[in-house]
Amino acid sequence: MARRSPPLNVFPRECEMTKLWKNGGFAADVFVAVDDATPLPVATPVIVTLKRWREARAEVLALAVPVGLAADVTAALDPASDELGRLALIVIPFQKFTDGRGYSLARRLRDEFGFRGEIRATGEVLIDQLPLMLRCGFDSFVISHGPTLRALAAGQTSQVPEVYQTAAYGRARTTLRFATRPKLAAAE
Amino acid sequence: MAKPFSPQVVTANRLRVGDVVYLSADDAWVHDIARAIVARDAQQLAALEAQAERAVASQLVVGVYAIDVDENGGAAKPLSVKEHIRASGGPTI
Amino acid sequence: MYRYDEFDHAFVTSRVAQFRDQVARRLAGDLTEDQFKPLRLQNGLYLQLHAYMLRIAIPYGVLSSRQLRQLAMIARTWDRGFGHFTTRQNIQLNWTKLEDAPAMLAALAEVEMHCIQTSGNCIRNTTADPYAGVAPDEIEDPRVWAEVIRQWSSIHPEFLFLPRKFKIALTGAAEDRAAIAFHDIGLRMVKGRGDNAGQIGFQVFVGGGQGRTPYVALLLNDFLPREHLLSFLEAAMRVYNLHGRRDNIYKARIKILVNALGADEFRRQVMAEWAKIEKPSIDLPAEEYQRIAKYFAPLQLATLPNDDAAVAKRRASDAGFARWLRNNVMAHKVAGYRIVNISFKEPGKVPGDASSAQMEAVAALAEQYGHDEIRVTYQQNLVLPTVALKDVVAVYDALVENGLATGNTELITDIIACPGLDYCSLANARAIPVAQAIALRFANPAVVDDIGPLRLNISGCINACGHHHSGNIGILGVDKKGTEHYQITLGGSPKDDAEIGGILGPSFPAEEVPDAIETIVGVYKAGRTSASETFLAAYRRMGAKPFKEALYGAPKPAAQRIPEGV
Repeated sequence: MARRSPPLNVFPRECEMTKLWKNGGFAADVFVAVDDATPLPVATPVIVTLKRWREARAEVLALAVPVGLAADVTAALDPASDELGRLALIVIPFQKFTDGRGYSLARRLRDEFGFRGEIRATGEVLIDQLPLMLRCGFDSFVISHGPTLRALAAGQTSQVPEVYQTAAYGRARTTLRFATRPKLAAAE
Repeated sequence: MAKPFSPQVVTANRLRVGDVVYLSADDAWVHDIARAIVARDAQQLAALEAQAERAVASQLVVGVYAIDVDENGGAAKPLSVKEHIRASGGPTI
Repeated sequence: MYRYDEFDHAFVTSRVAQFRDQVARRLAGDLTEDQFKPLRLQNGLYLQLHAYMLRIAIPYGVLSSRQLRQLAMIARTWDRGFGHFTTRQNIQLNWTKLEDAPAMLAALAEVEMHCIQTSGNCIRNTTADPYAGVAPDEIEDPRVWAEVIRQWSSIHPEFLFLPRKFKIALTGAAEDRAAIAFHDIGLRMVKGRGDNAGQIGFQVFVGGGQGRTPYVALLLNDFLPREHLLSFLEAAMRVYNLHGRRDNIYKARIKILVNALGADEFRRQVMAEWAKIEKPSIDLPAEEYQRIAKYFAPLQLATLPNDDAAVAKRRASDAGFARWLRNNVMAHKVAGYRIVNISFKEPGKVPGDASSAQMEAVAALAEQYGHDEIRVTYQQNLVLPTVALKDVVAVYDALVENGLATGNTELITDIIACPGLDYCSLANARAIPVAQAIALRFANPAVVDDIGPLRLNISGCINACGHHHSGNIGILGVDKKGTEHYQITLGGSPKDDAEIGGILGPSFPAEEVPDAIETIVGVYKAGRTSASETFLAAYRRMGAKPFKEALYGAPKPAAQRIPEGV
């Protein structure tokens, strides 16, 4: 059975409503996530597991649709053998918002592996961590938390706009204090 | 073999202020442990805990738990050194 | 010292606004306690045994008079008129209200202070040598890099949800006064040799710490050119963030990862990560280094005579002053000046507690005699880092008036103690009353002087905030069948010869601890080769046996001895 994402890491609380936040607004989620037991859908962007991506890549690529990868924060991705460059999307789960591995994984994808596709956070994505995720290279967020959805709809953020650190590739550095970033200047 | 139930009271901290409180009659949270409702069996304790959880849900208190008390000689007194110090309202020094 | 520019001001102001909003959302029910707790902890707010506690960062232990006065004001206005200096260059207020916390943070921001990351599983307040910039044995002032780390680590988006807390300490001196061997990362500024000759860099140590599994840090990098500090730290933090254990809170510190992998494998992973990091994007640009370093330029001090007739006269006539001068007043790198240690360890008082009046008194002294600088030590005392020798008598007299003139720096009554079960919800036993009882037992300063240098540390639980593992004598409070007992360790050291103390034997009830300490001191005094052999040196030479025998009697046959669980 195909389901709308995010099926792999469902946030248990307040799951009556789930929305995708992207580029500063709510957006339709065009991807469909499938587990390994489910046949690949036809003609729709698909999110597959790392196992499937590694074992049945040809079959997945043959769909000729944008492909997303449901990453696991414990899996060691290899940018070459895993052909990350062929992915349109990598989904990183936050099983708990206090599990910070996803931040480092995103930084690795952006800055060490050169991944330029979409990085999406799922799971326990809350308003207070969203600005941190943005700076680590995430661009989209699957959100189920009611107060977070309400705050975003009302245009509220929980952000300290002044930042001391370089962000991941492609992130704004408007009020960045130090560290120059030649690549970033090009991106802006 | 089940251990005999030891009398307990339910304690927490008030969310806004942080002071130590005990669940008392009429849904009140009081500083004086002697005024706390003592649960004498598991059913009474469950009822107090459910009541406390409602106070958590309404942002009144935080950090709810039950402590063993000694009722010998009337008013409830905490059994452990830690809860004794906590109930006394300040450090021992 | 460092002064905020507009950017830094805007940063702390935004942070206060963010926390004010988070508190409002918590009170409105938009955040559960589980969701709010990491946010309040990252603003220094704990829920303790009696109330909320606010832990205020004193970055690398540096304070101005204005800041210390503001701390006094905050303690008086929103708390109970005193604060507690901790073992990590922080100050804690014990009676904070959640609803007041945003206003308190705003008052701190006014004087360029904050509580950012004084708790939580993130990079904590970076600590440094309290004598930084004034010590005669210094290679380079570590405060510059401590400030760099402060800025870099503040709301670092990648490292706010680490497996566990992360503590960094720095020293730039020959003698380690920052206990770098007991930190997650310890940094020592060194002169390069061989290929690195002429450069200043860092020796990087990793995986030290106390707590329930104490480790002395291992060498990670023998020479890190200082300009690469941030990229290297970022690489080490990333390896830890991705691979540190998250399944067991007691095994989540970096020391467990380092020791599970071995230093070589951990180093290999960090180096591999570092090789992939685009260093120029992370490392501090030279101009930014210059901007920060300029705030730490040495004071322009007129050279003064290195002896003073009034001081000599007072020393000859006043034994108390002579003792204080000998024990608390240290050499300064500029002739005619001294480093003055202010003891918050008067026997019978709470170690590290300072009243608002005392804070104001020290602030006034710093202003009048100390070039407006105060330092905080991890031994829970304060320091006036630069006092002209000719002013030392006046400083002493003012300290006497405020109960701050105890001449016991690094002596047996200069006890490091955590708040223990009197304040802390984690503790198993009280620490403060035990510290008081021991200090009163050794209240005679002549006896204390005769014992000589001796670090005595007390922790109220296995988390070891009182650093008992690194005490020459360490005391650990344990819960033994519902009563407070105290286990004694000997031989620990927080310095260059860092070592973890060994447990002597079964624990003692509180009332027996002063006797036990007196017995231990007696064994030392009887066994030392001369008055100049320190307790630690004598213990290392003599071993634990004579101390054990004095405390527990001669060993019985093994079968009859019941080992005590830890």
